[in-house]
Amino acid sequence: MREKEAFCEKVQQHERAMYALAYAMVRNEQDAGDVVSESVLRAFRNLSTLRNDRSFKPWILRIVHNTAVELIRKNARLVELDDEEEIEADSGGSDLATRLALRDAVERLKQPYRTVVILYYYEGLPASKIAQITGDSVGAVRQQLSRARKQMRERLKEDFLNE
Amino acid sequence: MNKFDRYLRKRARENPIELPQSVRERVDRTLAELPEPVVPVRHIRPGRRIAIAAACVVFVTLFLLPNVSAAYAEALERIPVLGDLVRVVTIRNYFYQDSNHEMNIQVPELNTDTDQPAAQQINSEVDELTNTLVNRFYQELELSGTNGYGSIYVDYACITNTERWFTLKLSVCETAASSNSYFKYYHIDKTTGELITLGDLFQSERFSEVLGEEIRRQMQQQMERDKEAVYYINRSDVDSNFTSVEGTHNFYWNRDGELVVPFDKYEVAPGYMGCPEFVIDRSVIKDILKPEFSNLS
Repeated sequence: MREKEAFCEKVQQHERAMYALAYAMVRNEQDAGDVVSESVLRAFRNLSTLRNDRSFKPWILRIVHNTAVELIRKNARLVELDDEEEIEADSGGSDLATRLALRDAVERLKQPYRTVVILYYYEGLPASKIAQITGDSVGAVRQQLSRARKQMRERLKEDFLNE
Repeated sequence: MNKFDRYLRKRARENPIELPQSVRERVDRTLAELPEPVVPVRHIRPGRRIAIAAACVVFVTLFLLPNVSAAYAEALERIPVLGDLVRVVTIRNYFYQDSNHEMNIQVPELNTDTDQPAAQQINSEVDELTNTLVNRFYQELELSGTNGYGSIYVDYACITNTERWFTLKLSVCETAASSNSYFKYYHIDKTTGELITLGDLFQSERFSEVLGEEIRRQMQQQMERDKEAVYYINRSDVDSNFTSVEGTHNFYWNRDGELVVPFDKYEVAPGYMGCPEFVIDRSVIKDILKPEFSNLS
């Protein structure tokens, strides 16, 4: 009983991060809710694989990541932005930069940049933990972050310069 | 880039990703529906340590104690089936897994030293239930193919196994479009070797009304204390409000020897309330409880 209560408490601590990651990957609230819910069930069933309580967050985020990947594959739906949206984002000019907050800029990133930005900037995870979650190397994550920054800098330049 | 990096961190702090209320509620429901962790059942396996332990138990209970304690020897005579150890073992495990479906059904069986009709009846009921669930799972798998999702988990736990009492809890958790959890408790009074239901604990039929009234009182109290708690009592928008319990309703004795009346998910409350349980204070039932069940702690 105590184990279940502790698990529930930890999930509630990290449910926002789980949702943020799921949403970054599947890009709609309903599917993200499905991913989080399914991840909770999977995590509970595999609780014995968690060796260190302090690693709970990256551990469960990895489950969320894998569950989201499965859902995307099952739906055979690539959650990339379509060309029309991309053109709109790029052609928005200075108004866009001031109107868009960071969230909007993140939304326009393609994968895997969106995921690493969410985990790095919103969840404050270091590249080494992100690598554990996404299954990439630390070097690859750093490179993805670097490229994501470049793209966002371009999109947020006016807001950044006015900072 | 460092300055831009700091800018991004600041913006992320200012504009955090909010968890939608609908997702929060969904997570809460999922957590409420998680199966209870199973109390590990001591599976009997051949081995030297077990043989030595069993020999010690037999020696102490049947030879040493009756010879050093007259009271124990007298008590031993009054308990007809003492020494009739009830062992719970997993006799089958049905397992299936693909990308959309999962089944994991543990089928327990009670083993006793002598012929015990109650244990045989439990084995038979468990067998029937698990067969039904396995067949239904495969039927649904055949119908839905790769389009559907579904899982079923059946596990068991030995809640009580004392000289006096035995309780087996069977837990079923089914997930399809939504998930459902339900339980079945089986009890054996070891002094008589009989299968016991809730109704058997009481001297009069009033138990149904007495328990119903106490449970409704606790439900009302919870709803007054917690605005998010909802039970189906005195409501006009549900088909049937909770009023009383049947003689075959689930129950168990907790570690303090108090009667606990559990309900399945959706039985008396919305799904997010999970599987509610109500502990009945001894004072509520002391006048109607049969004397032999008045102190089982």
